[in-house]
Amino acid sequence: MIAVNPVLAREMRSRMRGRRAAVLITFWLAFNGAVLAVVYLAAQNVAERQFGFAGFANTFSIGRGIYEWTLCGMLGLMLLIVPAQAAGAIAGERERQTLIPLQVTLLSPWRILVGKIGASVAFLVLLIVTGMPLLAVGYLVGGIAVADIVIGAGSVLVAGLLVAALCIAISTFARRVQSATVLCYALVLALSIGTLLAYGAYAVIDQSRGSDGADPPAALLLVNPVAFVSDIVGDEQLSDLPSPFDGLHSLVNQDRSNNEPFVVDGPVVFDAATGQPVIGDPFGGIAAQAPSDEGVPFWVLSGLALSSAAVCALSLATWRLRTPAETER
Amino acid sequence: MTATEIELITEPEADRPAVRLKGVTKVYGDLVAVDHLDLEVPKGSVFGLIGPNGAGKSTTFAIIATLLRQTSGTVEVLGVDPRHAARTVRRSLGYMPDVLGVYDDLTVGEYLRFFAGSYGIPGAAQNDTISGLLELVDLSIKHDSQVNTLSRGMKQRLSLARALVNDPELLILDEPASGLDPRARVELRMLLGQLRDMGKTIVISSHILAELTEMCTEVAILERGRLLASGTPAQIREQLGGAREVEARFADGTVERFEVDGIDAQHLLLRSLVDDPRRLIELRDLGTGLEDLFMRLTQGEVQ
Repeated sequence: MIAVNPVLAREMRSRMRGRRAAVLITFWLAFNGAVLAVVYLAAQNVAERQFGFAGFANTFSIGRGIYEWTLCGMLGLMLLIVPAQAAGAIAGERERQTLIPLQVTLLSPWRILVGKIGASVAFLVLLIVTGMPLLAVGYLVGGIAVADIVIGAGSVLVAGLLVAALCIAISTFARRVQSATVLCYALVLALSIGTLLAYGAYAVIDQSRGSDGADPPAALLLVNPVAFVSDIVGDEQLSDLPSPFDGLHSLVNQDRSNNEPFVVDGPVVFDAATGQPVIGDPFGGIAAQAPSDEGVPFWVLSGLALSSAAVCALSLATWRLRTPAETER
Repeated sequence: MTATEIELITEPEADRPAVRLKGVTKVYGDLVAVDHLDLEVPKGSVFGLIGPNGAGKSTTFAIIATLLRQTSGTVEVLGVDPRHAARTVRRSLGYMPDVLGVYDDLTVGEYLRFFAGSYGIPGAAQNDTISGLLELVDLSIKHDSQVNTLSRGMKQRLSLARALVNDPELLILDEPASGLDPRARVELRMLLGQLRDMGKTIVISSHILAELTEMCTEVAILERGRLLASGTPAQIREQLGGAREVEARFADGTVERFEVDGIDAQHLLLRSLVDDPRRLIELRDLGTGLEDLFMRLTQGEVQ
């Protein structure tokens, strides 16, 4: 029989006991359901405006829009939930004086951390799985495949896992849950908004120096979990609904696509209402080929950067929990 | 090979003390928490560590319990240096810190199962271990109760059960009776008596010095991180000069105090008191407890 990490087993038991988990899952579903409802209604309005009915012709982009916005809601909420959940991992043990009894057992610091991360991941998986039916609405409308749902949910899960690992590492250095929570939210803000601000600042400085076009390096966004998910999910297809991911997707791929022509594969027709070109077969299929993807995709580099940061942070956390120590920890 | 290692090899295992500290010093910045401490805790003894707040008791315990590294000096716990083989020490060590840290959202059984798992006790053996421990600490009836419903005394006993989950040879109890009501203290004392009878070496600190007098076979008195005296209470008394105070109460209501030094003087005093025409009705020894020794040795200085 496989021995379950005792910290994982205890964490799971504690997390699922009482109302907190049920309330959190309910809130998760309600929030993402609300996002889905708003996007669905918005898509219906767009369809009626363009075609006079919410019909068949544009379900491709509507389905995709619903999927992307719902996934975006999930990612946003996950980035809010993960710090709150992970900040107390070790700081909470320290605060309620249970860390010392744990440290004198045979559990190594690494096993303690793995147990804590495992519990966070298990809870994230639970949230994602409960949210899958919401993502599947996009599939019902059309425009996305089952694989898209799995890939999208998986990317949100991986982003959540890496952020959770960083937050748990922070938790080992904090004496109180409150300070750990503040630090974890600061980290999430720095990663998701701070890196974007740095990117923007770089662009402004670049332009003020008289460059032809602002061209900040995408490396600035490597540790941005939203950019990581955007590069996996965003596809830059022309759509009736604005995509939450396409902006970041195009930003991080700018380096690779700056000098490449946009290759059109299929008939080009013009939208009667807007006069904008509609590229590709409006009844489905590949609308346009993205610029050729030479080199390593951004999401791979971003995943590696976030993973490296998480591994480094967890190594420091392991050192921090190691006993006998020079000072009381 | 260091002198300590050579000593370890040549010393028969049976003669080795459970804990041996030699010149142990622990410094935090400018603060010397433990100052050149020499201590030997014989196997099977109940060893009391006494001292005012800030004397260095908890720091000493943390060093023995593999949590802290000493700044200098050598530490040997069950024949092993905890700095190099902490895991080996932890297998045979039970530690109950001075603060009561329990997971309130677990039941008593789940709490002990968690720690049994943390010591690598296989699932099948965990049930026997847990039921045995709950019986020992008299909490069998609370197996399925949430920890947050237990009284402080019960939580303290549960904490002790947790420290015993790996059946340790050496038990370190930091202020186990603090915050307990008189009844819970008596129960705890009886429980520690049982553990002593089971052959476990117990190192204990307490502010309730009278309790230590009854329980401890040896004591060490610390102040400002320094060892002031160690040995049996009788040995410490001798180190202090041996004088003890007795109070005699007579039938006519008079009360007199005498200082006696040594067995002969004690014998002569008793004989004279018995022959006293005022008729002796009560004789009390005022200077036999640890409290007296403690007050005489320490100045209550706190760092």
